[in-house]
Amino acid sequence: MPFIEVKNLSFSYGDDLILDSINENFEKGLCHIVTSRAGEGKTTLLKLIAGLKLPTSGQILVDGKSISLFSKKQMLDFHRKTGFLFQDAALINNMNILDNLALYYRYNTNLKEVQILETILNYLDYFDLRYALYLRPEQLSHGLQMIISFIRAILDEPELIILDEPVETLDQVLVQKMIEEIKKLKNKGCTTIISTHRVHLFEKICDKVMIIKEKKVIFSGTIRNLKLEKNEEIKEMLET
Amino acid sequence: MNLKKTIQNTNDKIKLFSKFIGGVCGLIVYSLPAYFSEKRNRGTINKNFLAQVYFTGNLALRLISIVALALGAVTVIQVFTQLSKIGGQEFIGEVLKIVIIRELGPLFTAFIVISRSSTAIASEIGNMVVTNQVDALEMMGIDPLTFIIFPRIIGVTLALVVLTICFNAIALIGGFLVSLLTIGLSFDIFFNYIMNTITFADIFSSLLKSLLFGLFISSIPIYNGFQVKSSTTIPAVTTKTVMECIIFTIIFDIIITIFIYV
Repeated sequence: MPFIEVKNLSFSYGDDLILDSINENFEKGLCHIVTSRAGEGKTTLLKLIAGLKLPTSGQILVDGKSISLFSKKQMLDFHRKTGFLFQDAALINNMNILDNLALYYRYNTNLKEVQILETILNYLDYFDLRYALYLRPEQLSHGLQMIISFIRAILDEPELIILDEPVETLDQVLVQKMIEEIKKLKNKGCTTIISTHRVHLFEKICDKVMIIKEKKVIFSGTIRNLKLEKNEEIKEMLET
Repeated sequence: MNLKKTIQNTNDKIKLFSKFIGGVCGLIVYSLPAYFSEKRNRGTINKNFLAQVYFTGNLALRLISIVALALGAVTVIQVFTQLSKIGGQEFIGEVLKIVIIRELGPLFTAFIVISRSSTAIASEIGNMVVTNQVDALEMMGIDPLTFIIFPRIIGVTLALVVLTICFNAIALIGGFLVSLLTIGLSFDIFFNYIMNTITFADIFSSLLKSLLFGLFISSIPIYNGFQVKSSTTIPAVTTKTVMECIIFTIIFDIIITIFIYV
């Protein structure tokens, strides 16, 4: 049984159809890439998988149970085991970086402040961001905010991480460091879903690729199959 | 055709209004049990609550003091000049009690809090919604009901009750200072005028008003903040919040006054 099963999923904002009859399986421990042109519904799909939006029709099953039928407690538990990196970083404005990163631990665990700080500093050191500890999110560039948000998403080694356009504003060094971290989590059995326009960057860690065009899935398969794909529409999209 | 359209429009407006009332009351009703069922994280929530009390209460105290002092002073000047014509100076305490403690104290304090805190809450939450900060909290397993909503509702309400007491006290001091300077009324006599006229119902009505005003002028901006769909609508939502808070405050003021005094 797949970890996450998307069945006949459609979503619309009012009369505006965004996703139409999407079917896809996300297997445990694999890295999945979702790609499309801008504004084709990638973010909406990720939010639906995370349970932040409810489908207009169809189902999303997590370990065989419909996410729409989750109780409030089940949803909170699912969210605690899921890390989400938002496209706009979504750090809490009125908190410094330390508080932003410590919030998850303070709220969900009984760890002591010293232990929390140590874990956070390990990650910040890895990304050379120790100086940002007491800065506010708006004092950092968007790229660095994305790194902080990435750290927040992976801090507690979640079962599922969902990354919405994580590398679009990062330099090559940070991209490599981020990919290394994703690889480490993947080796521990973490399922990863990444939405991106830069598929080639994730070639080494990616197991499956899904392409959305005009509200529908037009390709779903391994990166190897994708390279062999003869469909002009898909080839053109990857080239652009 | 026109009639059908009118009926449809009225129907839509009633639905929207019911949703608004249900939403606002729901925030008040559900946030309290959510807080009490959240045993482990009260420290973090209490920190947010204290920050709200500080912002709404402490930072508004100077403005409240100036307005209250001025209101107390002008009320005494106006009332004294009129009452002295008919030799009714001893009613000054009665008038001050009616004007300040029963009516204008809670009302003016609520208006000041609306202008500072309700607008700030509506735009802050609207901004949090459009920049996915609320979603980010949910993804960390943090319930917005306890982390965002409860501290703001209770923080604003508590601050408003305390500010109203301060407003009333400072306005009476303003009234006394003017009485002292104009007619040389001693503190004892002034104090007696006031204490002889104040009843339990006056204090109860003042506190009840500020309590209800507080609950609604905190939950209306929260509700409106969560309705924001894009950053461009935040100013409009903030303006709408001020209008709705003022209307609700006045309606509650009338209802409570009728309920207690008529």
